[in-house]
Amino acid sequence: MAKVTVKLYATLKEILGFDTTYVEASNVKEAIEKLLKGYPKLKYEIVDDNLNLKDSYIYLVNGRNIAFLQGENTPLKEGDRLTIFPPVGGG
Amino acid sequence: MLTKEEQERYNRQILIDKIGIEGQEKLKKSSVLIVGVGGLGNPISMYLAASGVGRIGLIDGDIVSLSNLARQVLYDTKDIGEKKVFIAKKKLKSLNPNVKIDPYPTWLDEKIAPHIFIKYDCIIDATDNFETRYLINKMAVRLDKPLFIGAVGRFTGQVMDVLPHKTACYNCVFPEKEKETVEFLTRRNASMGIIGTLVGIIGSIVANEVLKFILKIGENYFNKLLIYDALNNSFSVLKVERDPRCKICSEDKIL
Ligand SMILES: [Zn+2]
Repeated sequence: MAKVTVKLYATLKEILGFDTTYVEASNVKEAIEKLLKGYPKLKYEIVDDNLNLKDSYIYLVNGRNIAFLQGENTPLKEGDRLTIFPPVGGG
Repeated sequence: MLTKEEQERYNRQILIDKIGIEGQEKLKKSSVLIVGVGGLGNPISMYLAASGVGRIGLIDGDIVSLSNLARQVLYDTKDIGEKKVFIAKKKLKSLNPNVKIDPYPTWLDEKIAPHIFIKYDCIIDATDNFETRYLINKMAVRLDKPLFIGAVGRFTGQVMDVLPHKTACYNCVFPEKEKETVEFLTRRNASMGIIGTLVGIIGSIVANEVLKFILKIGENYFNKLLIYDALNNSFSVLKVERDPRCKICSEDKIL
């Protein structure tokens, strides 16, 4: 298992009151499960009732969107950075 | 060549060694298209016009309404009901008569976008919905136009710059989902509200990105995404990467 830095921005940061945490996980799905276990308040923000990642958030692993990698199965290695935030689109 | 009036008007910029007369002339020769003349488009257009960018295109089909005025500082209460681009042109010309302003009182669509985009050196995305953001990115990448993106919601601002085919495009970082999700995101954003000062902060940052790019000074948010949090005034700069699987910027460039 790899130690991964999780960065959370905007509404997620508002909910938690901080923006950085660490989890031990071998892929994104596992990292999210650990994150929700540690911070259940995030549950209805980033996953739906079936624990699927919500389409309305951006998940980056080391600056690349997981939609172009292997989605929630994207593997994580020691030192990786998982960044989660909602896109804002207003002008 | 700068006139005497221009040399005096831009004196504080010309005094900067990295700008000088030469830089000021670069600004005069440059042209910029701003898509969306709302909260972000207001300060962006004001600072670019004041700084002496030679030609500024403004595209927006909207009219001024009462709920705009808490953050769209270019408009007055008496402007309610008027087309934004015409009011903006009047105000910007009054601010700096040297600048040419092209108003386009229309909504951007796939048909008109290339005809307008082609006339400008750089494109600025200051719009208020995701559908138009994806269209602007697609057209800017296709026409190889540097793109400067600002976005706001609640207390959060996001800024990124795109050099098509060289750095991450909007779709690399925010890949377009199916229609329902894009519509949901636009609805969510419209209902989350915006603190008035946020567009001033983010709009000024976007204008500054454009000025640096034209002047070829400093660094831009290429392969970088700024996330600004107005609640604790924190700036987080994320490194992002161009994605070889991005359906927008991996396609061949059409010349
Ligand atoms: Zn791309």
